Amino acid sequence: MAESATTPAVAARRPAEPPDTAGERHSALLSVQRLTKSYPVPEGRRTVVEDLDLDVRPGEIVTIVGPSGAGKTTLLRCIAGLLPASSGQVVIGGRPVTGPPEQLAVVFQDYSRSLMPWLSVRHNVELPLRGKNVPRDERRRRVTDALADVGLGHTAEQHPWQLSGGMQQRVAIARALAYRPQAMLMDEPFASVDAQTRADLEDLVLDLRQRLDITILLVTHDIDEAVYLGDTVVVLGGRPTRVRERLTVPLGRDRDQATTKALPEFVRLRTHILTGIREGAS
Amino acid sequence: MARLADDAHPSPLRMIGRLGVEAWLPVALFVAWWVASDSSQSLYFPSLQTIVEAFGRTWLPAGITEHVLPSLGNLAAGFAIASALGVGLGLVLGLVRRLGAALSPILEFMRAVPAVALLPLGLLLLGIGSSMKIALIAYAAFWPILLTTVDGVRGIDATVQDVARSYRVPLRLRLTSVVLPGAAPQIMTGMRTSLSIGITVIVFSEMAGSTEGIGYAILQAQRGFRIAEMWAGMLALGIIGYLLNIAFRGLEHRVLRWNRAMHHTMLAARS
Amino acid sequence: MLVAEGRDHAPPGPSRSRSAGRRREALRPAADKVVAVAAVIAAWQLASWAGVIDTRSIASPAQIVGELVSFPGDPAFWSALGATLQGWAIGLVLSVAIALPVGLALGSSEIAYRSCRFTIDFLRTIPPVALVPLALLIYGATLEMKVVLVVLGACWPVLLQTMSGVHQVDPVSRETARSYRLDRARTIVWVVVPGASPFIATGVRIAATMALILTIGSELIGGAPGLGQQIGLAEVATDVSRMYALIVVCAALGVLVNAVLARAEGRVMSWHVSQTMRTRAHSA
Repeated sequence: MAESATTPAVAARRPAEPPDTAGERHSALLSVQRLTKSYPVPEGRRTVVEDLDLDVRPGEIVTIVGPSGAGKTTLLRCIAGLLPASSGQVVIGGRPVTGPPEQLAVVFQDYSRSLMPWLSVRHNVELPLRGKNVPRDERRRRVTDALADVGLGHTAEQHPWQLSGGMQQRVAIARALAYRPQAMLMDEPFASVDAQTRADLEDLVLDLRQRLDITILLVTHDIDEAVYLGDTVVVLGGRPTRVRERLTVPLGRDRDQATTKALPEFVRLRTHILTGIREGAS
Repeated sequence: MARLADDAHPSPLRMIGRLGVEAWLPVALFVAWWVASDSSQSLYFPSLQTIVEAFGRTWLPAGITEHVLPSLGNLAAGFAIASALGVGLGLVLGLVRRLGAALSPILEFMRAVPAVALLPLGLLLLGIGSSMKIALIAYAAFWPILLTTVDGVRGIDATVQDVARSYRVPLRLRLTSVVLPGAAPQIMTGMRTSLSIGITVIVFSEMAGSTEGIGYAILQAQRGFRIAEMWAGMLALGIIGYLLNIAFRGLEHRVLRWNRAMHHTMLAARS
Repeated sequence: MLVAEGRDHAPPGPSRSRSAGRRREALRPAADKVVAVAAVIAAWQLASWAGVIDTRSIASPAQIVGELVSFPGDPAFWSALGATLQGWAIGLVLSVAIALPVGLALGSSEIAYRSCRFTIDFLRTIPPVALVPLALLIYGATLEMKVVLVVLGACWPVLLQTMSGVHQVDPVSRETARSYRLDRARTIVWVVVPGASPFIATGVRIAATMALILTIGSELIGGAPGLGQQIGLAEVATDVSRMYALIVVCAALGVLVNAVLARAEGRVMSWHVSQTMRTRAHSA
């Protein structure tokens, strides 16, 4: 079951389409189609996410932002194949998702629990590759590369709990990178770290995209983060949750914590989103 | 890391100090017993000197091959069977939650059956001999291991399970790299309980239906009114039990190294 | 999965179930259990009828139930049950009465704790059954013999749990006690014991189960009156149904003792937690 060489992988450095090209459905790497998720409750069913459409094109960072309780995590879990959709579907590489697809790697919010404390950093990153039957030498190389990519080349033999929170989340990102998915799903990946670390990790994501041209779908409740990282921002809202708005972020690919966040365009977008969410809430 | 290393290898002086604190009472008790019982005329409480002499006479080295090795062999066999079955079945019942929940009343009941009460049954089915003792030990030691394994598996963090699922880690690798290590702390707790239960059951079964083993030797000494030898047998049992516990602690130490180190690190971070 | 769900949005409660409604969810495990128990008993009975299981060594459920039904009218059964419970209760109470104060004392002093560690570790690894011959010599097949054996086995869990409980009592509350100049006895009664109570409760529960096993075991090999002795007698008389019925009674006792004490333990725990929370809320 070793991956064939033709599988387009993150590190294959495919040329990306410019994010602002009008996205046709067939060009999407990942597409969510009329996705609805509901749960049974004593009074019947309660719909959390309704009729949700979403496309992610190769090389693009799409951020999903919405207020707490908007079902963002539920949506992400449906996309990741961890939860079955009630209706509608998620299509990746032309095939509907029925279980966790091999083209996706997930970075969970809670880094302290998503890494296995009994495995060293190296073995944590390596575990999914062993499951994929990647040959041993190849595994070693990928692990070393991925850890170097996130700036943790020196920690391979340590255990996750010996590292700081930010470093642990880097390990989780390295694990996703080494898996060489076509797209990375990130569920509020920086919600549990301090502000400075958070900024560093955001820049790490941008840097990885620049160098490795990865495709990312990232969920956050932080509007600044959504605009700063996203080529496209999808704003969720309402009950049940639907797509409220889809915004293209015209900030280019070179971004910087200090200057980008001061650009009038950035400020305009975040104000726009914030106002939208406030109105939706009232 | 440096702090951990410090803790594991303290300076020789501090080691001696620690040893002194731990050792003075056992030494004092031994001496007190020796002196107090020196001129003992009591039938049931002979002087420690005679006990020690009896110990040397009966247990070193003849008793070891004649009684200790058979006991330990049966214990090891029963414990190994209990561990293999307990962990194996515990994994299944922990992972297939519905099955585990459905069977829980039966398991709780079976566990509550005192193994000693099954001795007559063991004698009836298997007669006097190793297989009866091994079966009895396996039965008694099985339940704590089974139940702690189920608990351990169920207690593994949901996020960890999500990671394994989303990265499509296949079942076998998931068992060896995720489920077993994740449940290991609980499994080891269960095994430790089972070990002391196993020691009790082996002695018990040797007393009730056997022609060899430490329990048999102690009972024979009592029946023959060789009181010093009976005491020597109990002393031997204490030593063996203690050594087994130490051996197990060593094993636990190895298996759960990550767990201990993690707690150390967290405690250090908190203070 | 629950945890990831619960993180930022968590549609309340029911989202955690997979398929059925809340009520059906609650009933399903109970139904599963009934079905599982019924299936096992039915299979056992069928195997006995079919001759797969030799009823001369393993009684069928029907035989066992038949025997169990006769117990209420059997004075021998009642006196045996009474003797077992008596030995168990006295042994347990004595174990707690001895081990609790010792545990409190040893737990409060680091030096005392370290000094006794080896001795305790050594003594508690001697299985109490090993002392049956000695106890028989001294006391004969009597209640005293049982009680001595029970205490020798059951005091260790209480002692160890009390020691670790005292060890972890919130240093802040100890400091508080000292700053209010509480004397030693009052500190123990009002601060240390309540603080260590969850640990002590667990120790008592383990000791209770152990005491029951030891009571029955010492009756069986020591020949003192009680359920264990009855099992031995049934074996000698090759009355297989009666032997199994008595084993079932012993197991039921074990389940009962464990359930009752687990409940009590739960109470102590919840009291402890709510109490701690209240203290925290006050001090915050």
